[in-house]
Amino acid sequence: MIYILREIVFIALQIYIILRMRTLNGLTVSERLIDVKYRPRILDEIVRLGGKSVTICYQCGSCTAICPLSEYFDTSFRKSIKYVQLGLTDLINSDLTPWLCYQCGECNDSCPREAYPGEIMMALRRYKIITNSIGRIARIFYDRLGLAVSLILLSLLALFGILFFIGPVNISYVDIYSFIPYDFIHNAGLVLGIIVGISVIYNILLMYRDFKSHYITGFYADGYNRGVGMWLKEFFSILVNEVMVQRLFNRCDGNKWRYVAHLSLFWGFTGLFISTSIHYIVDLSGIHIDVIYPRLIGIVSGILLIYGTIYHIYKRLRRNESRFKYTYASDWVFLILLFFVGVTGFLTTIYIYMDLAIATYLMYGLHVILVFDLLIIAPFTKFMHALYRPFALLFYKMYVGGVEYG
Amino acid sequence: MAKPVLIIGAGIAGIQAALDLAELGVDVYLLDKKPSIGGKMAQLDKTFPTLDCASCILTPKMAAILKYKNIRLLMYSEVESVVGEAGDFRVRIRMKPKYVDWDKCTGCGTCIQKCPRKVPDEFNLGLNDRKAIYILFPQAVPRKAVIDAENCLRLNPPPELKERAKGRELCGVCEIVCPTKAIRYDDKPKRIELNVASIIIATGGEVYDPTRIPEYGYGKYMNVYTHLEFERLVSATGPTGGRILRKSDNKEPKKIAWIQCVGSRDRRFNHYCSAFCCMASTKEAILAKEHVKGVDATIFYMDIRSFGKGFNEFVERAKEEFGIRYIRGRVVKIEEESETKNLIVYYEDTFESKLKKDVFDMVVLATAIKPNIPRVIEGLALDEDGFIKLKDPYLDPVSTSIEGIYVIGIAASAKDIPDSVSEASAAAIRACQLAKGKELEVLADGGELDG
Ligand SMILES: Cc1cc2nc3c(=O)[nH]c(=O)nc-3n(C[C@H](O)[C@H](O)[C@H](O)COP(=O)(O)OP(=O)(O)OC[C@H]3O[C@@H](n4cnc5c(N)ncnc54)[C@H](O)[C@@H]3O)c2cc1C
Ligand code: SF4
Ligand code: SF4
Ligand code: SF4
Ligand code: SF4
Repeated sequence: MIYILREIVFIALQIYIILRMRTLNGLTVSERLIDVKYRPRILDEIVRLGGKSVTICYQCGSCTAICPLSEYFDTSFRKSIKYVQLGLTDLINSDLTPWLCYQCGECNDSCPREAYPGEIMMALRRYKIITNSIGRIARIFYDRLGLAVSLILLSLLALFGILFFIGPVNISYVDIYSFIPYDFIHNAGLVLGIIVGISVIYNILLMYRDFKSHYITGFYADGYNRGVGMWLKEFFSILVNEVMVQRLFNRCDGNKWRYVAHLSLFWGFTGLFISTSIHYIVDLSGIHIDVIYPRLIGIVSGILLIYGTIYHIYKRLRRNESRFKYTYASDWVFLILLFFVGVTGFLTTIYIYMDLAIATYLMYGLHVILVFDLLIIAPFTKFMHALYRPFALLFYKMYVGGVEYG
Repeated sequence: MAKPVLIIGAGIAGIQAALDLAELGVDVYLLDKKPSIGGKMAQLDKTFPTLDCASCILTPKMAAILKYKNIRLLMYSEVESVVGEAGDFRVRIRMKPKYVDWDKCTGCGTCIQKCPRKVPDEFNLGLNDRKAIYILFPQAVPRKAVIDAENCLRLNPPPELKERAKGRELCGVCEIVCPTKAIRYDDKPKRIELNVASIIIATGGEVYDPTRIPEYGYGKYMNVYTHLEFERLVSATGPTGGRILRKSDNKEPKKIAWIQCVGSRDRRFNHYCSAFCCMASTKEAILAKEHVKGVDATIFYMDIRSFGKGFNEFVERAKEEFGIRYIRGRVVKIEEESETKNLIVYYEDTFESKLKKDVFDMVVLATAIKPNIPRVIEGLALDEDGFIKLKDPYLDPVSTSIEGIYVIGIAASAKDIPDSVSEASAAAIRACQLAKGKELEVLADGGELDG
């Protein structure tokens, strides 16, 4: 009896193993020149996420050699591609190299295999956004259907929220709080802020964990140590150089306009965030300052944001530069959301000044819905590069090393 | 009577096919657009993997061509049209005017010494000058002079000189000095028509123009050379008499880099592998070591394709015996130091996964080879890389899409000398079968064995 049972268990195990092998093998016969019979799953995942030509790379190293960032960081983009070809998932997860890449597109132009290494880096970043999100939830947003459904659901949620709390609306003159009550917008904002904040911090911790778990030497880079001062110093250096003025971006690219547009995007978004926060604090604390200051910041930021998004949308539509050739659905959504957040915010302000009550409320309602969508998906989409990248740079500099800004 | 065979192109492949056919008793027309036979191999210094001197192998073969009565040379000629079918092709040929009566010319070279007009020497790839009347290279076969009409003062006088001459003829020095009175300024192009049984295309190839790859700065930086230029530079008959000297300062380089796969295996330029350049660069690096004491020779490669007999051993020898450095990584760009004219190369050392920069005195580009295609043959199919398409690359590797027309050497695909020569012999047999068609049939009928 026991003997038969043991046999059954064995057979079941074997079937399980065979089935698993089948799925592991995947056996997608590729029409590419360099074909691997054994296709690791991660390879297909990277292909799906936009790194279409990862299999045709022949490891020449041109991408590393042409990349302007290789002068500042001891890194190899070619090696990251090799990890994908070999399916070394653990090493891919711990590899911070894709975060260094600024997507300037120079490597795309000098790759002899036309493998678009820049796109492979982009795909790796998408992959990392997914793997480093809580419960890999971000994968929903990298699937067209998932993205569409979740956006609709989120918008509906926001809409119902507004409809549910909508106050006795004042139509004769503009009174924003009569449309969406003061308490509701502030409390919802607070909750949203906390959720987003926690997600962001958690995601970054996940990135750190992945990095450390397979980071090979485990030591600090030459000249670096565990001291908190060291970490803080590097952090502020990166904050100023890489986030606020984006020096490497500027150096990396001959194209000043793209630098300006990218910086506008960043400052537009940040500016709006700051002006909203000031509003918020002012409202909350009861301190009286002239609303003109935050509003001025808001207007300038709005213009910057709209300029930045238009530039990027235009370039992506034209597709004539290699770095703007492929755009993933979720990148579009992010850009378009940003653009409309800017536009609706702007229009709302204009309507307020023109004292058009209904128009203001409609526009403002739309604005709130869009902001809600944007903030909820932010930690799981392209937006997160704004936070992953500085931290990746920080970890990279502390553990692997990088050159000082000259 | 057997019909003749026409061979277009007299490089090593065409020469070998001509010799084999002549030996088989077939009449051969050996045609070349240049005034001498020899092709690319005549421009090489030594050959891999044995480091034999190229002309020591080639010159006896070229001389042998002259010994066979049934080989007729059609030098300085081009095919104008081909009609007909296997066994019966009618070919129109245009013979360019040579302005020298080759029956009289003895190749003494007196005219060349005295000719006042200098122009860049294409045999040495413009690294030095030749005269307007010239013999292609010292070991040329046939060793006869031709006048380059475009640059001759008499035949094509520059307008400002013509005005001053007021109707009088200019120069004419070569006519005066020629001891056998061979110069013919009134020479005209000639047309002939041949009836041949079969055609063998052996038009070889040309080095791809590296100025199309701007990141290497060829043509802009003085000390960047193609591998063929380097072959001329190390050759004793070359522009520097076999001394490796930089164009910029006429000094010997101390550090030379070879960059592999320039324009080959590159989707932006040519997809295919040019097949001989890995070995050619290895050979050239060894030659550099032999010519310049203590020179540092570095080869930047992605894969070393040393597939032939003795090739791998050759590369091993280059590494161990000659100390040639092989670095795995593609050079992505070259910059020139403005004062020294030295060259900074950028690459990733893929064994160390690091961006590196290194300075060299001279850079040699192992440039791709592109086939020469005789466009006048209608219906001749090409493959996607621009080489002549083979009927069946496995079982009939010298036949083209047209029956009776064969292709050998680099016109069919990038390859080295041994492969070109084997194809030549294969095509010679196939052409012979057509040339001797009737005779062979008779033999086959009567060839029954006793049971
Ligand atoms: C730099 C360099 C180094 C090399 N080193 C080596 C080596 O060490 N060992 C080795 O084995 N191989 C070497 N090779 C390869 C070798 O040169 C070739 O394999 C060989 O020369 C091919 O011979 P071919 O007869 O096919 O072509 P070619 O030698 O190119 O001859 C073609 C001939 O056809 C003529 N022709 C072209 N078009 C026409 C036309 N339309 N009408 C009439 N005539 C025409 C040309 O004038 C030429 O004479 C080297 C090549 C290069 C470029
Ligand atoms: S340049 Fe292209 S082929 Fe070369 S390593 Fe990078 S991706 Fe691969
Ligand atoms: S001088 Fe006359 S014989 Fe001598 S090489 Fe010139 S043409 Fe020929
Ligand atoms: S005519 Fe004068 S220029 Fe012309 S080939 Fe003779 S010597 Fe030279
Ligand atoms: S033979 Fe070598 S150098 Fe030439 S194309 Fe092929 S791999 Fe590149």
